[in-house]
Order: sequence, then C-alpha cells, then structure tokens
Amino acid sequence: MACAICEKIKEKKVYEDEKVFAFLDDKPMSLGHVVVATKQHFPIIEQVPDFIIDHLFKITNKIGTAVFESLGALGTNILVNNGVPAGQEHPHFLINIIPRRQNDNINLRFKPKQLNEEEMSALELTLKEQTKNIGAFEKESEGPINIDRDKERISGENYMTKILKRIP
Amino acid sequence: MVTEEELKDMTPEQIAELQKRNCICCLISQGKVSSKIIYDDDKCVAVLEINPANPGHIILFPREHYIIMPQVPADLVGYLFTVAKHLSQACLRALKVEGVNIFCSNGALAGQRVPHFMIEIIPRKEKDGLDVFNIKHNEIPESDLNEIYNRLRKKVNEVFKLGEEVVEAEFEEKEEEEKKEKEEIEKEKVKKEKIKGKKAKESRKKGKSKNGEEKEEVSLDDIAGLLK
Repeated sequence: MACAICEKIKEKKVYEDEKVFAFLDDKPMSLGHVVVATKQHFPIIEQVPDFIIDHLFKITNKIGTAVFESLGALGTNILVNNGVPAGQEHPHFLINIIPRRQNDNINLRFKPKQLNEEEMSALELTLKEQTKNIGAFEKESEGPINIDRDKERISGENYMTKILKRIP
Repeated sequence: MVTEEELKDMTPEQIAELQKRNCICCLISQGKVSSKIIYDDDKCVAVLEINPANPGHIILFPREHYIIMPQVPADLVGYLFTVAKHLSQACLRALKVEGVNIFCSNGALAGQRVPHFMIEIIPRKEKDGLDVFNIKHNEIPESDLNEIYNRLRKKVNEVFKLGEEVVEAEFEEKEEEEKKEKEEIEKEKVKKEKIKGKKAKESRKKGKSKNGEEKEEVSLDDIAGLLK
C-alpha cells in the first residue's frame, strides 16, 4: 500500500534535509498547519531511532519559531498522534505544528479524570519499572560498518535485545 | 506575596527570578513540592499529572526554567523528545494501551497552563472520551495556501540561514571552475607556443644555412613565444 506521506516528498516542501522534510497540510487544522515527517517510513514513534527523533524535533522547534514569527500566531501546539486510538490518520510517524489564534475553534482542554491515591501510586510503580531502561540513547553510527555494534547485538548486551527478552 | 506596585519597580531579571520561585515545575524539580516522579535525570523530570486526562498522563519538563519551546536550546529539545519517546514506549508496555498523544502548548492561547515548557504524554485507548486531540481538518482555498507557503518559506530560510548564501557559494564554485578552465587553456596555449618556438628555432638553425629572409620571420615568433 502506498503511503500518502511518502508521496508528499515529491511535492512542495517548506523544509528538507537528508533525514526529514516539512510541508503545509492542504487540509489544515488551522491556517499554517505544518507537518514535519521523517523521509524513511516509520509507522509509530517507538520505531524511529533516537538520533532521528533528536534531529526531527530540533528542526520542528526551528520551524515552530518561524511559524510564530511569520504567520501572526499567538501560540502553537506541537502534537503527535501516535496510534489509531490517539487519532493517527496515516501509517507514517509525523509531527503537527498547529498555529493558534483567537477564536480558531480548536480546544485542547480535556476533562480531567479523578483517580484516588491508590490508583496513582499503582500507576507510579508500574511506570517507574518501565523507565529504568531510559538513559543510554541510540546514536548514529559514523562509519558505514560498525562491527562492535553487531557484536553487542549477538551477545545480548544491547538495550533493545534486553527489552525483547523481558516480554514473555 | 508581591503587590502590583512592587512588580512595576522590578527589573525583567527580577521578575524572571520571581516567576522561577513561584513556578510549580521548578519547585518539583528542586524537590520542594512532593510529586510522583516517574523518571528524572540531570536535565529533566517526568511526573504524573495530578488531574490526568487519562490514567498514566505524564508531564515531562526540563529542570531549567524556559517558558515556551522556541526559548529552549536545540540540544535540550532533542534530548527531551528522545526521553518522551521512551516514556511513550514505557506507557505502551506498562499500561497496555494502544496509542499515545505527545503534545506541547506554547502560549496561553494554545492552552498552556503553567509558565514552564512541558511535554505532555497521554496514554490513549479506544472510546476514552478524549476526542479533543482529533482536531478537524478544514478546507481552505489554494490561494491562501500559496500565500502562507511563500511567507513561511521565506522565514524558514531565514531561520535555517538557507537561500541566498547557498546560491552565492554555488556561484563562487562555478567562477572558480571557470577560472581553472581558463588557466588550463592558457597553459596549453603557452605550451603550444613553446613548441612552436622550438620548431621555429630548429627551422631558424636550418634557415641560417639556407637564407636570411626566413631567419627574420622566425625570430619574431620566438620573441612572441617568450613574452607569453
């Protein structure tokens, strides 16, 4: 199946480099809605390597600044809808930069849910268990072949393989 | 509390200092307000939102006080969102949800509640009643789209320092190439003329033995060859 976002690479772009590109949404959420996406096809954020995320959001921040300065926006929302229940429309990971103005009919205010102390503590524990692994971020390999990295993968010392083992 | 009159007399630095002192995020990061910390390191802190949109709603913010995203240094933005990605992964695994919204609001008009830049990570399930993130798309005329494109493109080029400079650089390269080509052509000319000169010398030697007229012509060529 052809991906609509991958097709957009051929069209008019606001920004482009070797990893990412940005374009104006032709059916915008608000005037000046910019979409920033990776050139390589990744369906969800968890599949995108850390060094691309790092680069992608640096670019997003700069484009966000440009949106502020050029389109008379009084605010911006950076929104990532990851997964179908979260409202993802295309099977390609992307970031929405939504310029905000007065009376633009967008309302991101949600109704808070009330959780009791016990539920909150349980959430804290389960989430903390999963965040122990955060820290060593994947870096872009400099050489074309990185033998050390392959060794790591085989010996099972790599962070990613640890996670795979953990899932029963 | 500080009265309004006192605020008027304060310098911008003092006001910033005051904001920092009263900022809930800064207080959490200094450990002065207790909270449910999910993850923290030397650059950022992630806590559970007290009034969550969904169970597991996480707020991630830098320890340093920045109000909106454009103020945050590039490296820190990259770092924060890399952590956000891993937190989103943690949500998927720990809470058995099928999706996550990652968003930030810059400016009160965009729904920013606290004057401290933060990334919100909200776990999502089918039919959880959080349709606010499924923002409607609107139809707009092609002409408006083009105008926005032109304005934004110009600014983006300015921000990334693209455009004119790049063109100039290419132009310089072309000029250099042209120069090189010209030099090479001239070198070849010189070579040819030297060869001509040599031939002329040879013929002059021959000419000496034969006749005087030829000798004069040859000597002119010789001089021209030396000049070039």
